[in-house]
Amino acid sequence: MRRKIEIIFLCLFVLTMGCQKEKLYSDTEEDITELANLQLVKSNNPFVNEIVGSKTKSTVLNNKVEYEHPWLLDIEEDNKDRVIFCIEPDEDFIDRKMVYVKDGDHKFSYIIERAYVFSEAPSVEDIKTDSISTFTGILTIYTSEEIPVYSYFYMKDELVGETNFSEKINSTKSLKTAPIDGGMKDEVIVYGSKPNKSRSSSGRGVWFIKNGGRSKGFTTPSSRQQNKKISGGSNSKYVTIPQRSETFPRELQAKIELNYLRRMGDKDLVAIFKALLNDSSILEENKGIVYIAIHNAYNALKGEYMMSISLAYAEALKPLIDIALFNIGGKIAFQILEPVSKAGLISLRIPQTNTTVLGKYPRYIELAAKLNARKFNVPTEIWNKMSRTEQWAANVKFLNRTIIRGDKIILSNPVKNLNSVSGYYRKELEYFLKKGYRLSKDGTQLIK
Amino acid sequence: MKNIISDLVSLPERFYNLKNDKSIYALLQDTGYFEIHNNVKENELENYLIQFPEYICQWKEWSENKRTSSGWYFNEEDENNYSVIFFDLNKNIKKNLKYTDIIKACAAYIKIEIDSIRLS
Repeated sequence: MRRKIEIIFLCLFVLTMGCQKEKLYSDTEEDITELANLQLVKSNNPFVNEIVGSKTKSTVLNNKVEYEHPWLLDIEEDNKDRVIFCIEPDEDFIDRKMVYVKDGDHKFSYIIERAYVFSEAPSVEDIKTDSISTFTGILTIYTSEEIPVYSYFYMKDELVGETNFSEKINSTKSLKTAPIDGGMKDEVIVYGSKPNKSRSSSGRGVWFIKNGGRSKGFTTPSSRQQNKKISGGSNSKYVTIPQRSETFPRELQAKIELNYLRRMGDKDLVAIFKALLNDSSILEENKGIVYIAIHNAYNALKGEYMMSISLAYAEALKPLIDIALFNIGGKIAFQILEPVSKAGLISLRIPQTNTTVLGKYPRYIELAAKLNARKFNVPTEIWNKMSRTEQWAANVKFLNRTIIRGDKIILSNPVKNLNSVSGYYRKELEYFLKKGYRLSKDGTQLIK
Repeated sequence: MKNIISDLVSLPERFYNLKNDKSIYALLQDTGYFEIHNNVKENELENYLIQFPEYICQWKEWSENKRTSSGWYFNEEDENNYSVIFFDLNKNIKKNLKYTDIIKACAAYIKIEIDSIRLS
């Protein structure tokens, strides 16, 4: 009974928060599919770059897990390394990981919501971070409005299917699981219901994967996690901390009250936000509360303070990017990144995602960059440690994804006669020809 | 030394051999190059390529087959102009070494490429 009450409470909370977030992003006009492809490009700020390129942050963020190299890399298309961080386990999952995609050394192409991962490990400490062979789960990419755009289904690191959500589709029937090379494996069964904005403003659906007889569902946060949440929002008079959060210093709570903030000048806001976030008396786990409080304050005050509050917010949040990525989740991390981006501290760009470039190195990379298109590339240090078979397997994943997406395929090195080409470029072309594509007359494209 | 030079120059051929399931890093390590990399000079590679010029095409293809965001590549601009170029899209860096002799260019590329693999 208590659990049910908690769930109801949580749903109400999610509804409230979702509404606030929708309002926050109501002026966002970008196409939903493009939003999913936002890239965090290398910043001019060394501090942000340090965070983005860091490989040791989890030691700071999770005292229990001292990973020297928490990054779990899975080579994927578009030079996107799958990076998985362990975060707090909850009562329904043995381990819980936040997953997002890292693009190259300093770029993030997708920021992905938490993935729920099955593991035999008895605790987070026992998860071997240098092992990438056991990732089974669903990666879902959300827009800033919390609407899922893509879900990728993995069985032991193998992409076995994906779902492309469309904003306009509203029924469960819309779930399309695209088979890849032989289709979904028999042992993987995907259940789900289409996220319904009217019922849950968070836009979250219920997706879970049945794996070898074990099934786990998407779960609500535990009551302990609920306690960390903060009430209030854009229309609240005050932004308050829940009473049950005993570890949160009361004097800091007072500083987040809107009326307190309203008395401050522009520069003071920056100082207050920074002080709150950097206050050493705040436990690491409560940084999330501070962030959400500031986020709500920002949400409430932005109409009054115009740019100054945004800049203060962005400036204050810079040091919090990593905390958000590790402790809060990709979706909220996006909320952090967006104002930081708008303040010019980092830049976000939206790539032209319906075009893929193939060709010889390095011309295909240069052309893809010029066209803002997709391309297959892997970090050099990983590429050099892959066998011929592994390199081609990674490449095929990318080619399959290109086919599923229905991308326009541009050739950086025009080809009129296949016999004039060799190496991987030829293999790539042959792969597409087998799939029903043909070379365009001028040899600059592959056409279906 | 002659054996190791032969092993180094034939790396692409051995890597793409259907029976091979090792990475280029592992193959290079197997040659013993990591231990004596300072002693392997471009001119030794060049002398070997003079005897076996068929390897030049293999290294050119090796360069074109890369699917990485940065790295060295071997470019034939025209019949008498060759270059060994470092490409890094993210950092917008390009280093360009120019040659008029394809064998010298290829030897330079091999040396620079195997050192890059060794350090990766």
